[in-house]
Amino acid sequence: MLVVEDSPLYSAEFFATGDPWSYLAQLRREAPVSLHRRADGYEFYALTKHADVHAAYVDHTRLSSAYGTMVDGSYLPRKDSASGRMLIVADQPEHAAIKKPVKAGGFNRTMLARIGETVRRNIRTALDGLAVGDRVDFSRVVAPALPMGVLEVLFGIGATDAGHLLERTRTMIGYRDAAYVGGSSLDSLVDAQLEVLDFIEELIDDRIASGADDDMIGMLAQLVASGAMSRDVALLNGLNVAVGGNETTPHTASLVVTTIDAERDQWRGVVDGRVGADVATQEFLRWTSTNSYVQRLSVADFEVGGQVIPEGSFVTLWNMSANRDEDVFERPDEFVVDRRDNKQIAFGAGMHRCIGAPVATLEVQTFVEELAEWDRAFEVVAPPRRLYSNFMLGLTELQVEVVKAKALVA
Amino acid sequence: MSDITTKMIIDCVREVARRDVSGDTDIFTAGVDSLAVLRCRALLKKWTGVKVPGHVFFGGRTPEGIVDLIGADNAGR
Ligand code: HEM
Repeated sequence: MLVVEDSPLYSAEFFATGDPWSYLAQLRREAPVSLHRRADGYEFYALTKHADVHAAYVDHTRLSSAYGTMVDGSYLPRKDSASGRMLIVADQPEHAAIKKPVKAGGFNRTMLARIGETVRRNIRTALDGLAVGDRVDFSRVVAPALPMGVLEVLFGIGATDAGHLLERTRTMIGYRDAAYVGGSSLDSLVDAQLEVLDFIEELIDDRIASGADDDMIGMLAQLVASGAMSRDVALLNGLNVAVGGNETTPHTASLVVTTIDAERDQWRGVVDGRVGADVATQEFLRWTSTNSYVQRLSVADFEVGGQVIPEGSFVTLWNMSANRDEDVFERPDEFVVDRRDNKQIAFGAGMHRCIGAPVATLEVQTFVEELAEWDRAFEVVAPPRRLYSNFMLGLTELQVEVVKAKALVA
Repeated sequence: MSDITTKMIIDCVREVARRDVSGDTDIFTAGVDSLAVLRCRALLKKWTGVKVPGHVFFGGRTPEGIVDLIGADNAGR
């Protein structure tokens, strides 16, 4: 098996300034299962093929989520206090017990419909505020409009509070990126996390007092009130949904804009109505692969891709690589706006598959629809600045000029 | 912020994490986590009216270290 010392997969800088796509394509061809080491002793296996990534996602018994799903500082597998109490780091049976109420309270049909309306309203407001000739940083001025409505509905809060919450979670995920935080980054991380927890706790207390259960936080609050869920579990999962919801789709939206700018002929198909926004959305999700990988720990020997990964190893599942696998996608390295039967795996698979996938898809599709209808368009006017992260693929700065729609797709 | 004492930190750790620690115990090694810090912070606010930023817990690590950091943060303002 290929062993890579000082692997670039550890390097946030490589993802911000290098070409991780090519590196992963080479691994896919030459060493689909490989081992990556860092000087301090941390090591992980990397799965790059779609079939292997999928197999790992659905093997909940051999691969555990409880030791963290991000490659992190500590190289000794260690659970932390959220393990088993927060969706993303819970194994069975705890996972199912938490997922049921979160899904019922936050991700049911009624919620989805309300989220859809609110997101569309917010996107329209953001776009309507822009005139031909304006130059703005899309990642700051428009992109936050996507998750904003989700927070408003799930947490039952106004746009101002939703904006504050967005800023704090942004600091939590992007804390290594100087564009997001000033001063000492770890300090900002813990302060931001506590602020979010404080805020969610206040909301829970309000809902317990009022008895309202008509949104996700209300539903969790009533479970706390009845003793069916501990306060800690409610808090941790409120945090999980807030972070999962906020730190993903704005990046997807920014990359949708750069993709449209680079693929104007294909975009014309969506504008003309020849390509459905739903079909285009699936390809945008594949192409952008906002969450690049997730991590597991093998709690038994795990056979994959003709190799055996020994018990007690970190294993990383590279969504961004699986989404360019030549065995699954024709012309994998091309954006194909009307790609049929799209097997993109941007949301993962199995029991941890993104609980927000329907919401995220709705956000992105609504954005695509509103852009296609708009009589204006975004033209990228400066090289975008990529996020310093190997975990989230996104932009921290995207300078665009608002032009007439006809100027982009003549 | 200087009214927060080492004893108060020790008391709140006992209350929220049910752990007896001394002035120089690393509270995180003793089992305090983010949620316990959240509760501890709420208690200190109740006792003194002051909301201590989260990072002084993680930076200070021991009750004495935390109090020192609170003092330093204060002096810097
Ligand atoms: C394009 C946007 C998004 C992408 C690419 C994405 C990706 C993912 C992936 C790959 C996972 C699986 C993690 C694992 O298996 O360890 C996941 C889980 C999760 N996501 Fe998303 N996500 C997106 C949007 C959202 C949104 C909008 C929300 C909430 C409103 C959300 C909330 C969550 C939560 C709570 C989990 C944990 C689920 C569990 O462990 O059962 N995500 N996401």
